[in-house]
Amino acid sequence: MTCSLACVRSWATGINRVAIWSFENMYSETECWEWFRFPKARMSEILRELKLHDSGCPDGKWRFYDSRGIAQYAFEPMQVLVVFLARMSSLNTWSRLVRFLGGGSTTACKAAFSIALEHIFVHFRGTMSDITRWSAEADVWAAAVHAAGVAYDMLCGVGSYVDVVVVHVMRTITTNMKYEAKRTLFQHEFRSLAHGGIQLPLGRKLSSRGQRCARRCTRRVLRRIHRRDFPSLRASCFRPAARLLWLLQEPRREIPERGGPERSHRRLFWTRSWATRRWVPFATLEIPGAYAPFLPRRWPPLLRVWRSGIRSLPVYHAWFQGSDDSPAGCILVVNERCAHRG
Amino acid sequence: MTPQQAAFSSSMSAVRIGVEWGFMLVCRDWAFVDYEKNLKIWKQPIAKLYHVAAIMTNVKTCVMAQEHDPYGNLIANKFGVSPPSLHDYLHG
Repeated sequence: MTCSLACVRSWATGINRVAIWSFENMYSETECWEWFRFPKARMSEILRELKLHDSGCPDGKWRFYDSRGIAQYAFEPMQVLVVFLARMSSLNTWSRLVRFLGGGSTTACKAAFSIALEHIFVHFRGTMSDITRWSAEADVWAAAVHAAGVAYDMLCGVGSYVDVVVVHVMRTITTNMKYEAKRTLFQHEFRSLAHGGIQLPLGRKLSSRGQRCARRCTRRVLRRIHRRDFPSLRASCFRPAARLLWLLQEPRREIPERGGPERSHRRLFWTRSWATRRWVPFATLEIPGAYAPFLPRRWPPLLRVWRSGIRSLPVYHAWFQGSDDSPAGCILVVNERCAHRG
Repeated sequence: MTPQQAAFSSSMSAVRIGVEWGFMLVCRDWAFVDYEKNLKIWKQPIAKLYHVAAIMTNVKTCVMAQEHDPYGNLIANKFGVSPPSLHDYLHG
């Protein structure tokens, strides 16, 4: 393949750019690892598997169309993937990335990034949203969790984990919730969004839910996971004998920005145990069975959210896991065996 | 805490860290989704960005499992479960 790496001047940006964009000649193996996170030899396979190798146009190039339907930019398929991976893997601004990506304008790079982002999201979100896709491996996951050191009689076939992470983002100050490009309004404040996901023992994320404002986010995201994902997950992935689903959180990381950390922290992630009347770490759960005879009359405020779900489930006893001085996590376990252990 | 609860807690502590590793893998490889000054709500599709970053993390796990070791990342290595091939994951 003959390519020219001679630099030509871009009159639009003043940045030198390559005359002919070539992935093979422009990036070394080390640069591929550093900027694209993949081996150079596998990039063409990844391009093909992501269905980015052919845009459907006669020349195979990806084109970015403006609002009038006019193609503004044309990209080689590998260029789209390279721009996307370099953007995702680095904290640099677009203006700094442009030189590494071969020159050109930042607007063109943003267009290539949006093409790849939209394409991957549209074509492959089903790999994570279809939660029952790997149900045939449920026994393998449960056996893997057991082999990692969890007593099997305590975990009745649980094969995946659920957790929520908080992603801090900037919120542009707006007027009436509309973005205004005026000088004094270009300020930001921090917001937090929550993403919930189900993690498999083999290291693949099975599901991702988001985004929710993080001030009360964890509860909302978990509730969404419970309502949408767990019924189908339980029906297909868990063994029939499964009586136990559990969630993990890390309460100390989730400090809301208002109301003071201690007060909000307690309000959000701690609740009063009806058995001991002590404040204990709070977690949420989905319980299979009819729990109604064992429910207390006065519900802790946070558990009230789950009242309708818990009421119809046949579990005999519940206890909280964790203590005031253990910030690593908290578990609420419901297991019918606990009734016999007292 | 009863002895049963203590035993449960100690046995679970060895594996629950794997949950956090999953989020670590996303932020380690795709730093863009972990940089709050770049993520501007109402200006960028942040949820879509994180979703795609998680997909690409899974893609990398599958690629690394074929490239270097049979596991692909530290979570799969800890639990001893191999991920599928890249084609099976994306199109299976």
